[in-house]
Amino acid sequence: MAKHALVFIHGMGEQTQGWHQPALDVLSKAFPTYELLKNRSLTDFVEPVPILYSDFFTQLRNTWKTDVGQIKLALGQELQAADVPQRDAINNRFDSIANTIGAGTDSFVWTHAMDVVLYRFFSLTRQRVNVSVGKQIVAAAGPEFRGWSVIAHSLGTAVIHNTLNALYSTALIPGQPPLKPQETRPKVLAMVANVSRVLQLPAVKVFSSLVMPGDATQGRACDTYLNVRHVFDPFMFPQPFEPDNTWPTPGTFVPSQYQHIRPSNIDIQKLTDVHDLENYLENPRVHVPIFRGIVGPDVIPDGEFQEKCTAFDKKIAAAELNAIREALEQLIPAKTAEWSQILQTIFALSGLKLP
Amino acid sequence: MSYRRFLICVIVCAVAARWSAQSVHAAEAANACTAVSPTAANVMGQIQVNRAADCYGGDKDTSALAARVLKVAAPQMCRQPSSTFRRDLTGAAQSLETQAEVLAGRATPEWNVLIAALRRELNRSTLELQDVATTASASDWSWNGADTLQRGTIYLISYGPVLQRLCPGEGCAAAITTAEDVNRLVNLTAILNQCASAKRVAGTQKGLTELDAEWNSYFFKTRSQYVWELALNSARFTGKDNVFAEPPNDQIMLFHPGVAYEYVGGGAGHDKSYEPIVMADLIGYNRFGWSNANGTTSIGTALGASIVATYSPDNQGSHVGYGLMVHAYNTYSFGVTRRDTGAGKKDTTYLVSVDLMKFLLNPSAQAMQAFRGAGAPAATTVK
Repeated sequence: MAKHALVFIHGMGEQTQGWHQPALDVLSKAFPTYELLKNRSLTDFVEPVPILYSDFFTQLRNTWKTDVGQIKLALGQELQAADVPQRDAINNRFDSIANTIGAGTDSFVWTHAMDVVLYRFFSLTRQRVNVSVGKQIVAAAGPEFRGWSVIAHSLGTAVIHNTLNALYSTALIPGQPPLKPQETRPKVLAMVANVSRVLQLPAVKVFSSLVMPGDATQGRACDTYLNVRHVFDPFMFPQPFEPDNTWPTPGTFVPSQYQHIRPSNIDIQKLTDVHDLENYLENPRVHVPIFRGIVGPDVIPDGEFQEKCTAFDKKIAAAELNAIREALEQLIPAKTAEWSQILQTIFALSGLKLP
Repeated sequence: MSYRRFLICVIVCAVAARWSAQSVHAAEAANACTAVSPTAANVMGQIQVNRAADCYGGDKDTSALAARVLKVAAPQMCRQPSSTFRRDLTGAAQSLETQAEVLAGRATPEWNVLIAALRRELNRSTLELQDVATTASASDWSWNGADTLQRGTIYLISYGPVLQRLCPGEGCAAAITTAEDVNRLVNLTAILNQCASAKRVAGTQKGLTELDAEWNSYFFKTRSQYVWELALNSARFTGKDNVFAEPPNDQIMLFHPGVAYEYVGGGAGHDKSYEPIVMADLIGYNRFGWSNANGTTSIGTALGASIVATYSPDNQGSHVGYGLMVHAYNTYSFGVTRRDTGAGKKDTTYLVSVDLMKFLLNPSAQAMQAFRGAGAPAATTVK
């Protein structure tokens, strides 16, 4: 059976083949919980197509490491006669410099943060990533698939934005115009933790590019645009993707084609997970619009959607309450505790208040 | 084998076969197209599930019409179109128009407006498919619920209101059948259009694959760039951000550390003529061309030069030397520097890159491995 291609585009950080599996698992688990999708599997309908571009950054770092490794080796041979403290001092200094320039031990700065810097501020690396991603997503537009959709996360939202805009602007076939959205385009463009505006380029601004939902004959690069931004996700605070009523052009799109989704679910024991793709996708407010976009909007009626949201919120609230209760239980002093300790606890508890 | 053991084996096999058959049947049922019941609470939703499962005009559609169109629009036919390709597509599109005509005669009056619009659009699509110069419009025929063929804020085809009016009720069963037929015709038209655009999509992919190979060569087949060099060369790069640009054909090297073999010259006091030495391209320029052989683009001739400095911490003379280095084909470099090598006066020293050293002097694989470090590719013997 020909399936719908579901393209996954990752965010910052070093990824490997199969990186999309946790996100796909979350979606696959949620899919059959809806009445009309019972006894069906998400992968009966979609073919996952994970896109990988972080391997380029890894390859760059590996090149630097190899080059620096050779220098260190040559230096080591030079220093063989030097006394040990001098050699160690030079080696330590050398390692410190290597770490600073990304040619040493992998650190969060170089495996995550620098991905964003290399993409946003270095036009050469940005072009290399866009071309690579473009090549991979066009494979999903082939005739063996019944359409295609994209789930992009974090840095991936900026990457897919720039890539789609370039895809429909570059004449890649000699003597022919660029590909048109009319010919092929994503059905659903789910921009999860959408940082495309934070990282937008002066030449490709998010509210004036081709990447907007609506009528294919007007050159809109997607049918449905899901803008997903967690209330507590800090990465989008500086420049949130919040279009006013002039985007897309008024009177040219159906409201359901642009959805502004603001989940707020948090796990108080894992607050840092608030930016994770899986954390987003497990919320019905996020995965239901994706399922509706791919299968059909009437497959999950509004009543069922609301019920799922309520049940999800209750589950989260119960988990949070339990976590708070457990934290408070830790504060309760033992029966054998000293009076001073008991008084300290009483003061601590009486001082508790909402931030 | 005893009779008893044989009997047990037969029973076990029979149970396993039955279980296996049930599993297959269950799997088939899970993927099968389900009949949409006129009394169902969510008729529209059921139709959409079937549609997504490829039941209307897809691989699971058992109708003769679907079989004919899918044969014409098989992926391999779309990718490598024959000389009769357009004629075949047009013929299939005309058969869809014929089926729409049949539908118009069969459907209840509530469908008249919709089917008239559908026939008009099918005819337009046939004409477009006929004309090679016209852009195929697969995205235009994509569904948004019960709506398709969007024009601004309206859809030319929208069967939702008809279905909602008739379901549940007396005319619901017939309405479901008509809605399924409409879905089939639209989906098959989308498939024909997708097939018609497949050659351009494949051409785009080919263009991107070539461009990707060029960028890959730029980053990993030319002289490597550290992050500050990437910043400098990015600032010089003139490719536009709103398109897929081609890589530059030059690069600036700036404070680029590396290693080379240094030849100090023979004679007394220089028992080891060739020694690995730490060096840096203080500033340099490298330019390269692109060659295309058999459709594959790669780096062609490359030539560059740089001002270099060498550093030898264990030298009795001067630790630092300065000179010039020329680079060819991104890997072969030859340089000349001047420094006090310990004799109390400035000597001329010669630098050769690792690859040039390998080419000229053919050192042993073991020596190269030791020089490059563990994990690096072993040197090959040059004859």
